[in-house]
Amino acid sequence: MTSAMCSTEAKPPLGWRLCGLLAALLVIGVSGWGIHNPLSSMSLYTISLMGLNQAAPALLCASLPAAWWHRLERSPTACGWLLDPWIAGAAFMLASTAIGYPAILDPSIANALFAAPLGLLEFVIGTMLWAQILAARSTGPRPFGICVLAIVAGIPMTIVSVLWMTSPSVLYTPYLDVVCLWNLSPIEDQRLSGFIMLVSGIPLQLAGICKLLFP
Amino acid sequence: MTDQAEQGLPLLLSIRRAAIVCGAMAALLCGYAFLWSPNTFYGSSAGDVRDPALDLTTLYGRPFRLDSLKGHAVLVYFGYASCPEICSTTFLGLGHVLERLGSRKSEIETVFVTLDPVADTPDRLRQYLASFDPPPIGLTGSEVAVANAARNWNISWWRDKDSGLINHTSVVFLLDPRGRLRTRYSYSQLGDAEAVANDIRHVLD
Repeated sequence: MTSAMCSTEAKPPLGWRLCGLLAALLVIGVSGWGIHNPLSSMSLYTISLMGLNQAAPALLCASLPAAWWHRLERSPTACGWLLDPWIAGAAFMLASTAIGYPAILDPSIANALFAAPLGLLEFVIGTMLWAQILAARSTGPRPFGICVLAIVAGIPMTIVSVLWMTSPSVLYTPYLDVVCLWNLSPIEDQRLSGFIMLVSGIPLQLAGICKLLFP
Repeated sequence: MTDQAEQGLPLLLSIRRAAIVCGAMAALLCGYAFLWSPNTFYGSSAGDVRDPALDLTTLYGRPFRLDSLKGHAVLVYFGYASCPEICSTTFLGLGHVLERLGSRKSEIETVFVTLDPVADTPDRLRQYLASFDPPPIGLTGSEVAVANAARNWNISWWRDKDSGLINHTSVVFLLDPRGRLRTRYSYSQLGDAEAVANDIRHVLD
C-alpha cells in the first residue's frame, strides 16, 4: 500500500463532473437532513450515514478536477496525512466498527454519541478513503494496493452489516420500543439497516477490484 | 511534487500516523461522550422533539396545557387502555422508579395520552389509570388532535387489522420543572429504576 507514482489522470467531461458535484451536494443535503433524528428509524439513519460515508465521497472524489487534487498533493502536510492510504484505511475501519456496532461500547457512551457530529466524521473518513480510489491524483497507491485497501477497509463494515442482518435480538436498546418508519418492528428495522449497509459497501470493494483489473 | 511523495512514504511513518489518527479519533469520540455531549442522562436523547406541547383535554373535559405542570418534573407516555401488556408494564416500572424517589414523589407528575380516543372514553380511561399509583393525568381529544400531538412527540403507531391492537412507540419522556424536554426512556431502560430515579433527581435539583 505504499505510495508511488501512478498516473490516474482520468478526465471525465466537465458536464459529467458538474453533475457529479451537484449530486454529491444533493446527497450531503438529503443525508444531513436524514440524521437529524437518529432514533426515528435505524434504516433511515443508516441510509443517511451511508450517503455521507460512501455515496457523497465517491461522487465528490470523481468530480473534483485533477488540478484540485494536485494542489492538495503539493501540500506536504495534507499529502502526508489526508492522502495517506494507511491513515484512510485504519480510520475507516475504526469508524465502521465503533459507529456501526455501538454495542461494543458502554451504552451511555453510545447514547451520548448519537448527538455527536458523526455524519461529518463519516463524510471526512469516507472522502479520505475514496480519494485513494477515484481521485485524479498524480501520486497514490498502485492498483494492487488500492484493491487491497478497498477490500480490507470494507471488511469491518461487511461484518457489522452481516451481524445486524443475522442477530436474533435488537443490538441497540434505544430502538427496542420504537415503531420505526414504514411500520417496521425494531428487529426488521435492524435487519434492513444491515442490508442497506451491506449494499452500500459493495461499490467500494468493486471499485478497488476494477482499479486492479483496469488500471 | 516533493521528493518524499515521489519516493513513497516510509511504511513505518504511515503506520505510526495511522495509529495516532485512530487514537485521536477514539479519544475524541469518548471525550465527546463524557464531556461535551448534550445528553448526560441515563435515558436516550429525545431526538428532535423541540417544542413539546399537549394541547388536549383532561378526562373531565377541561383543556390541558403542559405549562400548568411547571414546577414539577413531568413524565409523559402515549398508550391506550386496552393495551395487553406494554402500557401497564411501563407504568408498573414507573411505579418502582417513583418509589425510589421517596418524599420527592410529590414533585413529579405523570401524564398518559391515549392513542385510542374513540375506545378510551373518559370513564374507561379513568378506571384504567386508577390502577396505577399515583394515577397519571389522563389526556384525550379528537382523533386529529391526538394524532397531531403524537406526531409532534415523534410517536408512531398503527392499528393491526387482524387483532385490532395498536402497535405504538413505547417511550416515557422526562420534562424538567421548567417544561423542557430532557430525555426519554424505552421500556427496557425503565428496568434500571435507580438510574431513571437519578435522572429525575438531577432535573429536580
